[in-house]
Amino acid sequence: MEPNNEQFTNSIGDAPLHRCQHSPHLATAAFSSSVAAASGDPRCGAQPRLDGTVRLSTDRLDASGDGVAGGSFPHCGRPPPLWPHPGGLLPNRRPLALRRSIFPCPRPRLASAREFARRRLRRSPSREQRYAPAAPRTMVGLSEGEKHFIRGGIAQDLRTDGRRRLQFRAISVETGVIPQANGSARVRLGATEVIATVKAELGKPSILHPDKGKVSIFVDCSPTAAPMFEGRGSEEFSAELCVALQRCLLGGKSGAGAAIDLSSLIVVDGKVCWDLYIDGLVVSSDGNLLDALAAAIKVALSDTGIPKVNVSLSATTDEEPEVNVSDEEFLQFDTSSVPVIVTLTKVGKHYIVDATSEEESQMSSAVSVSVNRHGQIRGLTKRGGAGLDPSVIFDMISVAKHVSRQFISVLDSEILAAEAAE
Amino acid sequence: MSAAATAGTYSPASSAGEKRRERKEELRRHLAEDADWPRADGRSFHDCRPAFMQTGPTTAASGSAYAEFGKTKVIVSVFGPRESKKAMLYSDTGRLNCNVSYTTFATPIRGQGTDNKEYSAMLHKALEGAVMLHTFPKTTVDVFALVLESGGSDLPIIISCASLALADAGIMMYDLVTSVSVSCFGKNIIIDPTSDEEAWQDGSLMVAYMPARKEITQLTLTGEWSDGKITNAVELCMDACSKLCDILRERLKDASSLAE
Repeated sequence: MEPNNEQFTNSIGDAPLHRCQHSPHLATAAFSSSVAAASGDPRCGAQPRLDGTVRLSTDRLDASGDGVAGGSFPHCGRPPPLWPHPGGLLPNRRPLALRRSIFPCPRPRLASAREFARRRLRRSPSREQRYAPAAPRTMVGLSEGEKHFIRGGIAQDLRTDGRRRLQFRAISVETGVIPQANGSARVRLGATEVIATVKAELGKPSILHPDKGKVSIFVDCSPTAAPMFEGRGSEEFSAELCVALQRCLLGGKSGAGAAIDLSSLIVVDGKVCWDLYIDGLVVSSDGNLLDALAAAIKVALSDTGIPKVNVSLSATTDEEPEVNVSDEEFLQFDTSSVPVIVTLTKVGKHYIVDATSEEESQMSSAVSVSVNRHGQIRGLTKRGGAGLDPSVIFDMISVAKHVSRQFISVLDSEILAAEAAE
Repeated sequence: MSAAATAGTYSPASSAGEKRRERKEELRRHLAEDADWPRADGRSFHDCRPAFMQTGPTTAASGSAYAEFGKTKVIVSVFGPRESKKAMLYSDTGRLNCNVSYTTFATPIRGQGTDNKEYSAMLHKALEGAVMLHTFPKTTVDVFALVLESGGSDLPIIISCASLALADAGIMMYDLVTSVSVSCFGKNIIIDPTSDEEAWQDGSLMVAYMPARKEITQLTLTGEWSDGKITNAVELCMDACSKLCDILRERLKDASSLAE
């Protein structure tokens, strides 16, 4: 097998097939894995007629984007394209100013500066408040051939990078990457890279729950990851990730099912508690951000040390207690109940784990299930517009539970290795 | 029929709620095993609040609907299909633009409703699978929801009300989308929770469902759930959704018979 397959091969193919016999997508698992093993390049084995003509690297997209745009530029040096917009490439990649200069046409001039300002004003408030459905992940420009290749590969249980449907990409974990934070981790899942940090600050518990600390989760998508994350573009997307993570990690309103026991964050009942700020940062995006972020948070939490606090209680209980934060002794979290998230992406009739952004662009819907070590479901989110049959959803949940067991054990051994390396 | 007579105006439904009480949904497929505490409004665990829904409260919109479930009151207007904004790129399918807002007096503490920023996105996700976007290329349908009073299960009611408003506007849909949420307390599942119940729940689950197509368009789950309970809760929600859908269809029939 390819080197990146060794890291994390799901064992569904060999051992527990009987568990999942009701799910048709697994039926060919054993067969096509043997195909992949037999031929050196799995892609050749799968679809030889497409090999060589279809490449799924991003530089190809950029190059042909150039071809579309630069056909009429003399400096471009490549022959003009036969067809102005080949395949499904985005015709509007070129900057607006350039387009106007090569197609000079009379266009209405703005009447005055005041008119211009008026138009700006009219447009600006709606942008902030409304939800515009242009999700960043639909921006992957693929030709018909490439789409067909991806869908066909998934149907044959042999994906474009040689993985099987229920196989993760190689995962690498690093802890303690941000010394400023109480705990931090970097997780790479193929070309997807995320950083999670945990910061603890002393705060006051809420009136409603005087015996509990507070945990908040934020996600930020850096523009370095993808150009569409610049400015407002990332806001909806990071809000979506943020809500999904909160749903999976914070549990119900009463605190049941939370990843972190909130009562362990209390220092003095009703007076002082730890506020935990969990921040996720998307450094590089190649699909499956939610799973990577959840894994990074799990690792970061296991890396987190909360300073030991000595409280000197004064005689009168009404006074603010004096708190002495130790900078030598740290307490570790019990992270055994922190769940991982497994996202099953449905492409055609089948579902895959750990989809790349090209594969995500072909999805009809995706279900993210958060599962803890004991196989208990702690949260669930559905993405994508298409409706799903209830039985398919239940099937996805059981598959996700199965896959999560493998994922958790891989993650655990990676955490141990990362801690040893530190 | 009072609903038919008052269609076209916005009627505060203090008396109309009584009329709907007979429609109280009988969801007793899973009898509560230990019904040891009464719910504040006298319902049993698997009883939904009486649903009052009506089309056409706003005349300026292409379609609109008002829904009142207990204390929760929601109004949804649908505009369009109309020309997409100039800044938008060309698209050969239509766009669905959803916005959920709360009035400042919707919540016990003034202005608290702005906490629910994600509702716009959730409403969009619940509806996009049902609307035939290819029937209005290059144009946008705007769905604006306003929560007049928040009394628990806000999002499911917004979704159901929005799909009634879309149907009222004549937007082509595969099916009406209805939505119901359940809360979990220990081993009990209670349907259609009020905001007090939501504040203390162990877990919650929301299903948006197209009853005729038997498809789930949106499913969210949070908190502590065991396996068997998820299955039960989803089935309970789907059953409630199909009953709610019957109510929606009746309202649409009322509106069309009035128009004739």
